[in-house]
Amino acid sequence: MKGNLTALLITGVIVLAVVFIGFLSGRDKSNRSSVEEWSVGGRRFGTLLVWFLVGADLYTAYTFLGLTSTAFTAGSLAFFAIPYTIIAYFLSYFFLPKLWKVSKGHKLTTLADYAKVRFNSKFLSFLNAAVGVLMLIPYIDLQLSGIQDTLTVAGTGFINVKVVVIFSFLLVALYTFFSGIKGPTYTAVIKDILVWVVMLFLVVNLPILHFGSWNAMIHKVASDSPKLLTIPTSGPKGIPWFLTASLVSGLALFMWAHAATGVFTAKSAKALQKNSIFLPLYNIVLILLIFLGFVGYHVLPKGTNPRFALLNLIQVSYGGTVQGLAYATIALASLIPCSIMAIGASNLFANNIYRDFINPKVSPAKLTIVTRSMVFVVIGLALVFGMVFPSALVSLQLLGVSGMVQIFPAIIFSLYWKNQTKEATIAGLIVGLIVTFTVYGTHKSFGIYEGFWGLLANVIVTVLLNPMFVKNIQNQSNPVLEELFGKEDQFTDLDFKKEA
Amino acid sequence: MSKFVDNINKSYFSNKQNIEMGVLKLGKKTSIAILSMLPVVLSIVAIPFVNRIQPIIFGLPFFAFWLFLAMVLSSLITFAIYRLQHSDGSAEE
Repeated sequence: MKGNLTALLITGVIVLAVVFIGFLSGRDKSNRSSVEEWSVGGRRFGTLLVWFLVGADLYTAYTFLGLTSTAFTAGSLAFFAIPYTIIAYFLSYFFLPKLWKVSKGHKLTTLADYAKVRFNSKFLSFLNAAVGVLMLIPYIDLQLSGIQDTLTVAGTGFINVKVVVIFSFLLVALYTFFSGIKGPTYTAVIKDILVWVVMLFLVVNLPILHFGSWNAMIHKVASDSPKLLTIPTSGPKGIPWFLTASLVSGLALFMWAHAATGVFTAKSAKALQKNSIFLPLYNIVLILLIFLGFVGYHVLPKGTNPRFALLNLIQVSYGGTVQGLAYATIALASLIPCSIMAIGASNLFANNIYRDFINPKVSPAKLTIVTRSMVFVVIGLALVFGMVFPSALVSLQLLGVSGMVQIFPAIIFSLYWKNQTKEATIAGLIVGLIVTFTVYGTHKSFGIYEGFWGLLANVIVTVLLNPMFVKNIQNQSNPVLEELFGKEDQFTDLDFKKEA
Repeated sequence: MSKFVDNINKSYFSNKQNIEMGVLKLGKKTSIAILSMLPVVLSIVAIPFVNRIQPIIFGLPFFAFWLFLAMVLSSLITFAIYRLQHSDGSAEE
């Protein structure tokens, strides 16, 4: 299929304009004066900005393209995104304010930082950082594929897609390096408004265009392909998969480095609580968007690559200006999260690997420039990885959520469980990762989401081994423990059990 | 939108006495604990029982409608917990 020049030009102009705004938003030098300023905006963002930022973080090009393609091939399994985010936002209401307070008090900018001060363990912090970076780079590649697919569909016959993709990502790296978190935050506002307008338009208009009305579309899908509208009760992915995938993804969501970065920009714990109340609103558009996958199933010719379901549907239905606006939205939803992810990964590498293990005496000014420069390394690695190891990449992408959730006990249990020891936590984390990879590698997941087995093993190992090491931490205290549990030794494990 | 919030506030205030009586009986922590179970019940436990197409409500097949409902309710429940936690001066957490 040939591309569409009008759409391509509109996409190009909007994306360049937004990147320009990204540069403008960071023109004040103070934005890059310290790691805390550059990566978490000096923790000054109110509820609304945090909402935009976290929304921009989580509702990416991959969300739109991936969910519609899942709906196109696997029907209602795509709806797992809804319970997943319900669980994530709801639990986050309880643990994010605690995490935020500790991070504010101790000037922390990553979750690995937290693990380090909470457990007095650089090694545990290193593990957290390594998992974070290892899982995030393939995830950045997913974003990359978002913009690549957009350009492939709109630009075939007009441009060299690879060259433009590399160029656009270097541009993002540059504006992230320059503006820090301010860049993606202000551009996220534009992106989110575009997302709402464009996606709502598509959701309202596409069914009318192809079926006459929304209800006609639903009845057509319900009578011709009812399988799309419920979760399969047999086969490799059924209800158990749906439930465990939702649960594990929900627990993993705020373990991602880019989500944590977004959270740490908040100016108060209250802003985060309000954020948990309003974040679910994003899902309104998500639920409806999944139906566009069903529209594609009925409208697009058989044999369409599911990866391009939404993009092809838009091109076939509109072409020209509307296609351009929609593609620009998807391209922005690809580039802006990529920028936040690069900040998250750079932070992990610079703080928890470079400073803690390679150059402990680094000055704050040097650390700031190292952190910022890491953006180029992270985005460069993502580009190289995507081109050199495409098959390893797919595995890591599929395992991303399952891998990330393994740090949940280290980060979240430890907010409630005073006697949690670093030894047990490290053992649990490692076993969790091994189990996840083994289950994935041997294809023996018994219809359950891979990460669930890993997390189960992780929690069992942590809880069973913990009593063996508890005497090591008796009478030991540090400022974070005191902050979380008070100075007295009266805390029981009750809070933890309720949470688990 | 703001009207919507106003309405919630109004209904909250008109029910405030009831809520406060409930809180007195149950204790704030228990109320929050019970409310905390609901989103998990709605979005995980209930799924096997709502996996159906009919009835179609507001143009959504029942399964999608349920998820929509669960999402809205979870947001409101979070709001209720927020109000409980920030009532009578206990702003902490």
